[in-house]
Amino acid sequence: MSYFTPLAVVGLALAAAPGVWLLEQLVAGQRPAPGRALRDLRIMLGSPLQRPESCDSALFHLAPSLLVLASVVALATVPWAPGFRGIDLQAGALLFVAALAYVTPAMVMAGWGAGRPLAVLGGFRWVALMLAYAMPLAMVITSVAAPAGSLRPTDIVRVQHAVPMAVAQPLALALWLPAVTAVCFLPPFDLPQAGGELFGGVFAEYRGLDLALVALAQRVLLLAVSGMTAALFLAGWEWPLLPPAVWMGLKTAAVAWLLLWAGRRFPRVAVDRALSLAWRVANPLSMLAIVYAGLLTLLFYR
Amino acid sequence: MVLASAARSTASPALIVPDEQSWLVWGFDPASDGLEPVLDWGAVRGVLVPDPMPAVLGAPLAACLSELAPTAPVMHRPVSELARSVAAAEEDVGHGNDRAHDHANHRHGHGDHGGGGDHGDGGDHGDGGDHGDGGDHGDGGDHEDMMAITGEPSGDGLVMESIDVSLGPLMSPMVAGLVAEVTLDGDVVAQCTLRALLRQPAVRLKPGGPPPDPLEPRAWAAVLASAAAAGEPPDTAGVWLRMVRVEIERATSHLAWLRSLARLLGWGELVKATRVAVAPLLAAQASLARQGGADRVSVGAVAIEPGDELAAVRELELASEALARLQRLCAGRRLASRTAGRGVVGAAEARAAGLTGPVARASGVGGDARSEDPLYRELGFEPVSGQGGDALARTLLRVAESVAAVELARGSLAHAYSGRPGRGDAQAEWVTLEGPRGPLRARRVGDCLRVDAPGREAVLRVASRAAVGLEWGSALVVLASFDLSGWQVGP
Repeated sequence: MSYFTPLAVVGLALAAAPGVWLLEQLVAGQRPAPGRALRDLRIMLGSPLQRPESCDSALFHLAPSLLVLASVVALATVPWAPGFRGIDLQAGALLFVAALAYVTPAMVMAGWGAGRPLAVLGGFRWVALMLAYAMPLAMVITSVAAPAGSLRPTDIVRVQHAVPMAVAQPLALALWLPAVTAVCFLPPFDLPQAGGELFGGVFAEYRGLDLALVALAQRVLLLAVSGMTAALFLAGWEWPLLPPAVWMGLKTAAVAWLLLWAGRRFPRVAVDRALSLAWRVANPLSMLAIVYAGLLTLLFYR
Repeated sequence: MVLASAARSTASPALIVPDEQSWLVWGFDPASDGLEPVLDWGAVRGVLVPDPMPAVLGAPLAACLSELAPTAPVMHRPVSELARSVAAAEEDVGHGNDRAHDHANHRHGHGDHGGGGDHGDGGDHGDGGDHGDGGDHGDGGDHEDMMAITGEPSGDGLVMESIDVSLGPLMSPMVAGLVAEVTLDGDVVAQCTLRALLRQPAVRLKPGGPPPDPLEPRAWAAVLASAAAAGEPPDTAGVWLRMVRVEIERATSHLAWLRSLARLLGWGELVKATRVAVAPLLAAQASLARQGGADRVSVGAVAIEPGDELAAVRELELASEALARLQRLCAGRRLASRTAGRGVVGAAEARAAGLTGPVARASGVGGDARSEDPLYRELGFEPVSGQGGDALARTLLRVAESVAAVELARGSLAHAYSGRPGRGDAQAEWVTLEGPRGPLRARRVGDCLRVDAPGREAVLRVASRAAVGLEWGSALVVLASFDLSGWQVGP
């Protein structure tokens, strides 16, 4: 198969939910209980939709769909194996970041549409966070694309056949991982929903199908960023012995596990500290990463 | 786990779960200004449950309630439903009280959402539960409030919207019965008022009666009751065993608080570490309870079962090891990153406000009632003292007190089983016991035990002030660091 059909991408997205759920249970040290999960899902889907009292109920109900759309488009840009990907654009890596950018309006719509102060606070927290972390994301993409001379993810994978980018550009990886954790609103960057602080935040009012879509979107996002991390930094499918798709699957699972594990290891980052780190540390370092990538390219990849 | 049983002839109004903040059965007195714990099951209108509800305890609580109160229809609802009945009952109370009525409206609006924790387990990544807050989201400000721009400039010169938010009385991280009314300037707390809705002026002395502070463990009630009772004969092993149970419950209380703080911080590793440390303490308590009755500390002859002795010793050793790991975890930079330098209460402020207990000791002032007790002195007790007075100092102090409590429990357990004589209770007018939130004093008046908890109101005022000027998330951490109680104890 040379291309994913749209149906295959949607199928992968739906398969992401139980896969990531399983990982979450394992990372939390809990025995997976599929029966209970299915019962919870049935209850969730059986609940009626919440109708917020605010006048922005259209925004409120559109947000989960936009979130799912953004996450599925991001997933479609991930190269899983030679010739096995959803979208193969020249600027596929940029499309990935562009798709993630649509998470921001979805979050603001969810918070504003709910019409509750703490939900709006969650939405604005998210805007502040994404403004701060958008630049490092774009810079890191540029850094790893420079040696390949291409923004096509498959080209970036192939240029790592000798040395993975995680080894060649560790600084870029160190900047990338917190930024994508934040994009997936996973702990310790789960600021917009912040269980204990905002009591659900932007998603507090969601019920029924809306809530199921949010949960699905978050898991698809995690799969997408884990897959793209494996492709951009861990040489994707480019390792010997095992079939390419298996390598890619293993690396994706490892990255997802790492992100979930880190979420349990650290307390939620305070908003002021997260922003301070982004503007004062991550942004200047991402400029440094670009310069370093340029030098690396000139010296070793030409 | 629930310290009430069908075997007891009269039901207790308070169901206390040792490893959680509180499960309370309460009703309302139309003549009173606020919620009251009830002594009559016919007056029960609702149940306060910890939030989030520990799944493993849900079924035992439901079973216990159905046994205890077959006539109360509210009791037969699923546990997740019970919390919502509080909103309706509080609304009833509010008919004679505008302030309570306003608050009830906030709660009622959220109770209708029907979360009930039914989706929290499915969607969250941490133990805190992203969505499953028991249907009480608590952002009580309405849309009109949110849109109103006051025109007052913020600290950074911008004109910000003023948002009124009400938390409690049934939501984490607030303890049951505590209400916080907060005015936000953007995401910064501009004003904060804390109110404890529940009142406990006196305790009726009877077997299995309610503890002085229903948020605190049951053994404390027995200690105060027996200490204030005149003519009680001196005892040997019973006194030491009572100390064991009191110290275990102190450690459990501190750890339960630490776990709620960890949930607030979204820190899964700390939640798990506290759970690991609490489990052997509960097992030790259960082992001791088999010797001294299900719900009271033994004050008479103690029947010692060798197996139980060994089990309690072993469990306390396990707890000691788990607490050492917990202490290392808390001493690192991860906890400090969220708590250091926040909510500072200086020594002078603590002294002027009349703070007591761990909050005062974290600021370097205030004593510990245990210092005056010859039994504690015999065990080499030294009060733990902190420095800095910030949220980190309060947290580390409670962890250190938990470690010390377990060591005291181990020491007194050794004395109990070695047959070393203990001291009979002193016959003083006021008996003072150092509780997990500060001293508790008791005096016998007729058939009642008058109780007083000095410093309780002061800590509410100090905590309110400490939260002002902080970002919302930090303010909640600071409020939680005071380990507040929803009960006004005393006259």
